[in-house]
Amino acid sequence: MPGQLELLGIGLLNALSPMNMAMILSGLVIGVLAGALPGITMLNAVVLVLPFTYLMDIVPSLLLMTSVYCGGVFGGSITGILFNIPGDPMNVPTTWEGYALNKKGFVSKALGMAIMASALGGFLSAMIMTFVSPPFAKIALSFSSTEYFAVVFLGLVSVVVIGTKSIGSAMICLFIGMLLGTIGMDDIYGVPRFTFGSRLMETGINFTVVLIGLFAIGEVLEQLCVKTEGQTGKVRTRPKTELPRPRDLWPLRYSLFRGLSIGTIIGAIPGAGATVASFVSYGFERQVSKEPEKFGTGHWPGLVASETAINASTGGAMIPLLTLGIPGSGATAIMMGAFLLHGIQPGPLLFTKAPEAVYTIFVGMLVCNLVMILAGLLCAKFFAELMRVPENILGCFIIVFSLVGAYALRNDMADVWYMAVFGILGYFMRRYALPVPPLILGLILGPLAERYFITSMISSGNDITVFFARPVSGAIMAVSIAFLLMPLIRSYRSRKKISKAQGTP
Amino acid sequence: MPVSPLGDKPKKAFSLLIKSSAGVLVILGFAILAYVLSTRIDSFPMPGQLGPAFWPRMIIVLLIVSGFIKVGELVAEWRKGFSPELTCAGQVNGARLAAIIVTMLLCVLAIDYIGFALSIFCFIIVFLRLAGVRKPLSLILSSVLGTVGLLYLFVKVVYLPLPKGAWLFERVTLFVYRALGII
Repeated sequence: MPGQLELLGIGLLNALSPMNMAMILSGLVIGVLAGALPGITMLNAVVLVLPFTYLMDIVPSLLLMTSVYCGGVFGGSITGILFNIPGDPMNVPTTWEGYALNKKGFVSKALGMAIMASALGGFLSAMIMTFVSPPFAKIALSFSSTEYFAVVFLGLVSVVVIGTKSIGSAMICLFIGMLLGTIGMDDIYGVPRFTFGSRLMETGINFTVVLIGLFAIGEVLEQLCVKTEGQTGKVRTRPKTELPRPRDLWPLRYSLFRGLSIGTIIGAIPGAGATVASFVSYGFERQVSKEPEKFGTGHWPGLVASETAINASTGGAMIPLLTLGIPGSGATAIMMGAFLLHGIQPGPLLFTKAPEAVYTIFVGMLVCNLVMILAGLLCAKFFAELMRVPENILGCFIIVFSLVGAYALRNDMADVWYMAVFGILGYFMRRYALPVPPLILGLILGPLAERYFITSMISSGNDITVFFARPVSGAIMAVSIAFLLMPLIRSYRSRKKISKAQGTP
Repeated sequence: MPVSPLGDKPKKAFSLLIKSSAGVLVILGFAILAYVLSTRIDSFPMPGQLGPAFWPRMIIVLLIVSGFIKVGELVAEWRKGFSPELTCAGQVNGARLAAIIVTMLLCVLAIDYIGFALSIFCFIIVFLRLAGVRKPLSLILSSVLGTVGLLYLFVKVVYLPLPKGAWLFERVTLFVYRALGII
């Protein structure tokens, strides 16, 4: 059997064939466009291309799907940076920093930095996937609900470090979000909660609907109905994407490395996914930053950390799929379906039965992340054209797309109602300076936290120490607690400094 | 000279404190109501298990605790001599805001009855008029092109079964689809 380098060479030749390159480029464009449109998720796009793979070989099929996957997780960042409308929940942290940078006048650089950080994150995680897949997958497989809860808890804890002036407001919004997440049918016991017998409530609140409402509708209402000083006569220009130079990237190398590590590790944990990765990476970056107060105001390390983590999670998610036959996310589950459609069972035997195909997929992912720079630039140019559309017409079509997007999720008018109500709520939250991000975080991570917490409690006989007794979960919980205490320590230190400077004890 | 935390405080700041605390008190009231409602969750006896009501109740308790933390923050801010900030900067066009919100809600309500195509057509016209577009030609053109484009994209390309409406309106929607060659 050929060695690893030889297989990589074969994989490179295969991946660069015209057919495979066409699949990569078209998949990336489809993915970026789908990811950027609110309501059409990356997962929808992967599902939509699945029927086209029936007549293809397994390698172009997988390359098409992986490129839709890689482009899809990035796409939402473009609309997030340009219009404050994240295409997917995972793009929310990028939106916080990217849109703030846009408002500061750095839109071109922010778009370029997001594209480059995504491409680098995806490329390096694909490299990791290529070389350390098998041992990595074994570790991820040993994770139980206890470790999952610890990871989600770390994500929730990041709410105290997300750029907000008031911890009290952030906590209120977080717990309201978590409470909203409990509405509907309970996953574990199958009992309706807070439904009042209404069909509208029984389906529960889909977080994508809330996301579309709070961000898209809230933003349109704010832009059309609130006039701030100096806004009158504002000329909307078309931004050009400006890729960062090496000297721009060098100061951000540590943020990039942290985003890459967190993204790859969380991506490799089945079920965790890009959303958890981006929130945890953003929160972690703020904690280790020397300028945490700048987060949320347009800070480059925040943008780079979250964006790198999102695409790094794609390489991570492929590890358990290819090595163990276990899909780590919704998108990889559909890819597993594509494998099975072609009569191939992913798992350890894949490496011995079809090593050339596996290494073509590895190299294909590497190429895909490099080509993503081109696809990202193309799609960013397309969306940037929309910046020239007058504000009122753009706002109108954002609302119309949001209505259709909310309906498209489950073909249910209940979602459209939720979207409209949360849109109005989003506007008033902005006006009354209530932070929107914690509410979103609570709604996304709350149900996951509940599922893993209750499962852990059932399996441990309600022993709360189980989260600290297992080494991995114990370590993550310790980091979370350190995260929680850090703002208190910081404020104590700053108060001490002030009192020292004033000469009072 | 240090200013007394309570004595020289302007009345306006105190009223702001009351106003901002009122918002938190509403949330606390809502949390208490939610706790009462959580007692109605069907928690059939499961020995050794936390049950379906445990998680929401825990969150409600944490929400109440957060409410008290917020009140503490507001009082601390007020005692320092700062007036708690209630709203963001900017002048709101209240009439336009109310009109846009009502239009959006009416559109959502109408989708079930008159169908997606007609609702969106009307919504675009009314919204653009409210948002300051004056020329009738621009209004009609944006509305027609926008609706047709959306129908092509979502019904013909994505196969999304958008609501067609009830009674006569279902026939009108189907007529529009046929006229456009969508079905």
